[in-house]
Order: sequence, then C-alpha cells, then structure tokens
Amino acid sequence: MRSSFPKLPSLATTLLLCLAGSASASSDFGCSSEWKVDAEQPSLCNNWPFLSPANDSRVNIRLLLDVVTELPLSEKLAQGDEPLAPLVPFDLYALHAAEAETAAPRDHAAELDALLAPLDLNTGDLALQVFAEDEGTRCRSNDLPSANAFIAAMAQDGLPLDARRILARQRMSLLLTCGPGEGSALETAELAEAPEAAPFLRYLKAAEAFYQGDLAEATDGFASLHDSPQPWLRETSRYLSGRVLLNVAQEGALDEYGYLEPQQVDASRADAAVEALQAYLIEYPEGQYFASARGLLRKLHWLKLDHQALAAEFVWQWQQPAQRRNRSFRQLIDEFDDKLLFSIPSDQAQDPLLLGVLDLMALRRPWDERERLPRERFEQQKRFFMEQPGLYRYLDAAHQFYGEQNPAAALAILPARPQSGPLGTLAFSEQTLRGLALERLGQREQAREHWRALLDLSRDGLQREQSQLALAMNLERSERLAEVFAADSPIDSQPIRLQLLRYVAGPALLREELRRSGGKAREALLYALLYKDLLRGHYADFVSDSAAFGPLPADSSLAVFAWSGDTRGAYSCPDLQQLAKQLAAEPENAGARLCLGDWVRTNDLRYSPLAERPAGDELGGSAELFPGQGFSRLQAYQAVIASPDAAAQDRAYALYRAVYCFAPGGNNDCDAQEIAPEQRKEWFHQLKREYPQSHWAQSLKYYW
Amino acid sequence: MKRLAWLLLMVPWGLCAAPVDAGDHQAFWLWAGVKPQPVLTQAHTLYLLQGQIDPHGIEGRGRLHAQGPAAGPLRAELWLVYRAHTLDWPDEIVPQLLARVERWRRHGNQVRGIQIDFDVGTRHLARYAGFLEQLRQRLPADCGLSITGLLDWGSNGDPLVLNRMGETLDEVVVQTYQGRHSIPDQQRYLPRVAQLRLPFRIGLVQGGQWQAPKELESSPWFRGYVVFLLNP
Repeated sequence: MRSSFPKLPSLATTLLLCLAGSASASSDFGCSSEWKVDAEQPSLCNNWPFLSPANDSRVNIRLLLDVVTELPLSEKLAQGDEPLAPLVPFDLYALHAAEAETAAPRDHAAELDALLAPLDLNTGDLALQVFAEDEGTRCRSNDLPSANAFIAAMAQDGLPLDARRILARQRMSLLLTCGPGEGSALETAELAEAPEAAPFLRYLKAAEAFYQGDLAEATDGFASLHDSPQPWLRETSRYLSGRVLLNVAQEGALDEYGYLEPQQVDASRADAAVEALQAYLIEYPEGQYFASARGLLRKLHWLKLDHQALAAEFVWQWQQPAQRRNRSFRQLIDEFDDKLLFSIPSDQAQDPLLLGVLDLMALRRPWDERERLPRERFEQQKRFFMEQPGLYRYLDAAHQFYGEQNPAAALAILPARPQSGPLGTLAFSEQTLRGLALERLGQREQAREHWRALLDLSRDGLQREQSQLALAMNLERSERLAEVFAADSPIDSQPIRLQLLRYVAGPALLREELRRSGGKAREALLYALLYKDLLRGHYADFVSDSAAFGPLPADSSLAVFAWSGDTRGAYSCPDLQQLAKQLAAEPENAGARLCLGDWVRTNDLRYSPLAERPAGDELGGSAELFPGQGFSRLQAYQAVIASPDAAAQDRAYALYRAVYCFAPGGNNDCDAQEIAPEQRKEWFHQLKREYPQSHWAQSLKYYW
Repeated sequence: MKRLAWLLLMVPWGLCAAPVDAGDHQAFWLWAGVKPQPVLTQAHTLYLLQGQIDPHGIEGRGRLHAQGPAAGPLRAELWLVYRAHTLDWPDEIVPQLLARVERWRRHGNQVRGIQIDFDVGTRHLARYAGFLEQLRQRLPADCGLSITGLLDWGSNGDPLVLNRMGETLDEVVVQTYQGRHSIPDQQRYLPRVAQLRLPFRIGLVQGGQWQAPKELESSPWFRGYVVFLLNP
C-alpha cells in the first residue's frame, strides 16, 4: 500500500497487472516479478534484501531493524519451492508468512473448566465474542484469559465456595457484554452473607460498567480497589484505571465513521491516562499487564499527535523480547507504517530508523508524490545519525545514486568491499549499491568481479540469491551465458537458471540442461523447448524432441503438446505429432498452418508465460538465442487469405478466424498488429461474398 | 510523469464525459484513511471498508485484519467491505466477518451483507466463482453477498461468466476507475456491462469522469452508482 498511492490503502484495482498476466504468479494476488536489482519503483510484489527505494516501506523498516538491532530476515524466505518464481525480489506477504510469530496455542476453555470444577460449574456451551486482528474495541479483553484470572484470584483468596460459585457464574455471563445495556444484572443479594466477596463484586460491577461503556461508574469502581489488600484486584484495578482514562480521553474523538478528530481528544485525560499507565509500569515492572500497558502508551501518543513520543515508543518496542511487547514485530511494523510514517511532519523525525525509511521513500521514482528531499535538508539530518554514521553514509550514497542519478558520486562515498564476510544488511546494501554504480557507469567487468566477490561475502540465502541475480544479469548482458551454466559456475539458483534457459538459451543448451534436470524444472524446460520448436518453425525438432524427452503427462502443463487435433468439428485437424510432420515436410501448407493456429487458439497459448518476453532491464530480457520467427495466428490467416492457390475451405476458414481475432471487444487477440476496422469489415464481406455457402460464412454474424 | 500521461489519454473522451460529483449520488464507499465528508449525510447506502484478508497467516494462509470504524449507529444501509489478497481462507475468517455484521446490527443498523473486493484477472474468474459459491453457503440467508468487478472482465475470456453467478451474488459493483482515476477507455467496456443479468451497480471515483451509455441505465438490472470517496 505504500507504493503508488501512499495516502490510500491500495485502491481498487491492479487492472494492468491482471491484464498483463503474470509469468510467475505465486499467489492469488498475482504478483508480477521484476527480475532485477536496480529498481526505483515500489510495489508490494518486489522487495530486495538491501535498502532500496523500491522496497515497500514495511520491508525497509524490517531491514533497518536488522541494521539497528541485528535481526536478520528469516532464512525461510530464501527457501521457496516454486522454481519459476524468483526468491529475490520477494513479495511482502512472503516475508510476513516467513516471519509469522506463532505462539503455542493455549486451551483457555480447558483451563477455565479446571478452575470451575471445584465449584461444580463447567463452561458448557459458552459463547464468546469473536474479533478479527486489529478490530479495535475495549471488549477484546473481555475474554477467557481475563475470566480465568478472576476465578483463579478468588480461589487463592480462600473465599467461601458459594460466593465463588456465584461470582464465577457472573464473570462468565459478563463474557458477552460489549456495549450499553448489554449483560445481565448482577445478582448481589445472595452475596450479602460473605463480606469477603464484596471487593470481587465491586470489581465485576466496574468491569461490567467498563464493557458497557459507563466510564464514570467504571472509574469509581476501579479506584475503590486501588488499595485493596487482594493483590490481583489491586494490580488489575490500577491497570484498568489507566484504560478507563484512555477511553474517556478518546470518547468523542472518533467520529461516527471511525475517523480521528484530534482536536476532540481530551488532552488532560490523555495525560492522566499516560500517568496512570506509567505509574502501573513502575509499580509492576514484571506485572501481568505490563506489555498491554506499555502498548497502550502508543495509542495515547497517537491520540495526542505526539509523534516524537510515539517514535520513541517504537524504538523501545524494537528492543524487547516477545513477552514484553503487546504485538508481533510484523504488527508493530504495520502500525509504525500506518500510524507514524505518513503522519509525522518530516522536520520532526529524528530517529535514524524513521529517517532512513522516509529518506528512501523520497528517492523513489516516478510515482511518489512526496516532495523530493533536497540536498541541504538531507544534510541537516546528519546530527541525528551520531550513533549510526554508517547508515547516514549509505543514505548519502543512495541520495547520489537514485536522487541525483550520479553513480560516480555514489562510488566515491561508498566504502571499499570488505575482505571478509559475512555482511550485515548495511554492509550488504553498501556493496550492492557499489555494484549497481559500476553497472550504471558501464564498468561491466569490474562489476562482474564485484558480484562474484559479493556472493562469497553474502551472509544468508537472500543475499546470495540477490548476488547471483546481479551476476547472472551481468553475464547475460556480456554475452557470457555459457558461464552461467559452466561446471564451476557459482550460480546455482534454480529460478535464475530457469529464467535464462526459458527466455534466452538456444536449443542446444536447453536440451543439455533438460537432460540434467528433474521435477518441475524439467517440466518447465521441456515445455519451453517444445513450445519454441513448434512456434519458431522447427517442426522436425519437435517430433524428435518429444520422442526423446517424452512422455507428456496429461496432468501436467505438457499436456498441450499431446493435442489430439480436431476430427469432429467443421474444420478438421490431425493430432500435433502428425501436424508437425506435415509442417516439417511442407512448412507453408495452408491447412497445416491453420491447424497450428487452432492448436494455439484452443490451448490459449497467446497467454502462455513464454508468449511475453521479460522487460529489457530484467533477467532474461536480452536477445533470444533460440532461432526462428515467432508464429502469429493472424499472420497465418493473412497469408492464406492472400494466397490464390489456397483451397476454398481454407480461405473461408482463414477469413472467419481473422475476423474472430477481434471478438468480442475489438481487441486483437491473435497478435500485436494494428488492423483498421475497415480491413476487418472487408474480411467479413469477402467471406460473405466469395464463400456465401460455406459453413464459416453462415456462422459469422458480426465483425468487430 | 505517469499522471500526465493519464490526463492526456483522458482528453478526447473527457470532452463528452462529466466529472463525478459525489453530491449527485446516494451510495458511497468509505475506505480506510479517507476523511469522512459532509456528503455522507445524504447516503442511502454505505460500503464501509472493514478489513483486509492478507496471506500473512500461518503457512501463508489468509488472515483477516480489521480496518475501518467500529460498529456504531449509522443512518444508511450498510455493506461491510473486505479486500481480499488471497482466497485461501482458514475456517475462522467467516465467523469473524459475521460477528462484525452482528455488532453493526446490534447498533440498530440495516446491514445488507458483505462485499468482497478481490482483483482477479479474467482467466481466474472461474476459480473466484467457485470460492464465492462456497462462501455463500457459509453465510446465513439474511447476509447478502456483493463483489466488486473489473471493467475488463470478460473482454478476453468468457464474456458473461458473471451472469452464471446470479444465484450466488446479490449484486456486483463494476469499478470504472483505477487508483484515483477513471479508466480512460471505459466506454469501450460498458456495452458489455449492460449485458449483465444480475443486479449491478457502477462504481465511480469522486472527481473522475463518467458518461452513462443509455443502454446501461435502462437495464432492468442496473441499481445505480457507488462513488468511491477520496481525500481532496
């Protein structure tokens, strides 16, 4: 979301992405991968393990966390099992999935049952409120763990069994309360016999008022327990008093559509809430609500628009183990991105991590609507990087490289390549930028040596993958493709090798690698070989290759090459083997070419991943070494239409199909030619005029 | 740069189209981060963004992130909108959606149902249709199901695959914009939209461009417009 439209969370559509199809979609989202390292446009789909302006801001936050607190990205991210999708760049969600923090699930209902057993109660068909992640409501804490804690506290206190039973029942019925008028009236009469129960009852009444939204009553109720001799009541009421104050402070600050009106925040109550929560944190540094209370401080700073304090809270959070935080790192990163990054005025940012993310965003092009960061404003930030001078130096070089488009100046700033590794994220970023600068300066050989060396210095799978990608692109563009596949090649990444084989390699290399491969890789290579054999005009090779490398299983992508033709339709075609033999003998045969068109059409090969070439600045985007002109359906039809020798049924069918290339929306679905509507109309009339009795003339009603 | 290119493309067609004035409409999308505007008081129908289903979860399965306002009394009838970035939904998601519907209803609102916003290319429409059928089966009868649709759906695949989803869907809202802008050659696609045989609305973007072809508004299935509000 922090890419094209920073202020609007990824609006509506990725229509263009969808239209373009995706050569290597790894999820429903249809990510379209950019196989390169030198990138300046952000997208969710493409992120690199170095500090790049093209990274989603959340990825750069994550990388900067490694820079400032040494927290390498999860190795799981480098262990993809999709051979046609790159490991670098990776999509944001892959990072999230790799780093999902999963706490061992606890069976709170079973725990509750254990607590209820001595009271002759059980959970029965207990109904609970269901909330999604991030669904904001104070009722979230009205849950089983809270109920369990209450019932456990009563047990410790030696309350009479009858009173405990009544109170436990009350606590359970409170579980569904969330909003005015909800919940059941507390039965208090029966408790008169047990005065020890009074404080617990007061707590329940205050909690009910809190969840119902009666904050005044909740305030008084919890305050009356602040000095309770019962430790759980004392601690819990002190914590909850802070939460009540927070709720009071924001009451009325969110409009009916949930939009924050900062001027409606009750600042003095917000201050009081901060004070109350901080007092709790001091009194209970190991308290059971520590993580929650500390987390609520962020909410209060956000309500008060106190960006500095909010930034400082994040700095604190980054340094904590999981049990001291109220959210996972992934959630904290999202929150940082959503609640701080886009709201803090740029002259207020002082934290190096925050400045780093903002500075990198300012170097994006060409979409970003933010002001570019002028040189003098960047230099003024230097004082905030006293503890991170290396990061400042990197940002300085990035400013030259991306901002000023001056790779030579960037090179002059960047440190020399270290002699030994492994490299942390900052050093790896520096050396990546050095390599990119050499490439942009046209120093291809030095760049090549640099990428080779960087590969040896890489710390982890992601860094290695990126170094291999850079090296492979360099070799590809230096016409040294064979070196990628040489026995001593350091490039062992399957996705990178497959990309080059599928889009660049000639037939000999393709066959050689095919002999050495297995599984999904072999399937992809065989698909590429047979596809190009047929559609680049090597028909005899198709016959021999499919015999040598077959079979072509029906449940694989290779099934298209086992096409059985069409003997029942109005235009008859032999199976693909026969067709290829026919074409090998007679490449210009009208009927055979029309049938090849039918094979392409009925198998949707216009949308085959191989039908589109990678962009010129991506891996696999250099000139293709597989010889031959690509087959175009429309050109085949045009040739038959233009051939006076063609049989009547062939010409009629060619006219029909040529017209149909433009159904139903007027777009050319057969190739990239621009054909004027008059020409399409003429084909339509020619069919009607010359072959009026043909099946094809009679079944064509429109042209487009 | 890119912005300029869009504008240039829009010129010839823009001459006959009129800017979209939210004040002329009664149905709106309210997305996260978009400041509520006074025009909302005239809303008959509100499409409220309530969350996003991302492949964040365990083993990359879907996880629902709530967004948008918490339940409270609103005057308009409501569709609760969820953006989906994956169709791989673990079992807990539907109960989470329904719990939120219930919370809005407890505040006295008329909740029509749930709208799914999923950007899917034409080629994967059939799979999406299967997903929606299953989702429909898990929703109670009083919870409607709406989806957003893309203008180009059907332009190169099965033209009217949506018409076969009439039993699954209560409506489809076809978006005529991308990002903050109307799609320049939207006119090209609209005749096909008019062939829809299930209740449909047209999604416009505030300040975008729109000119209704006659056959569209006269379709018995046309249910009006929804305007995507933007921050100024």
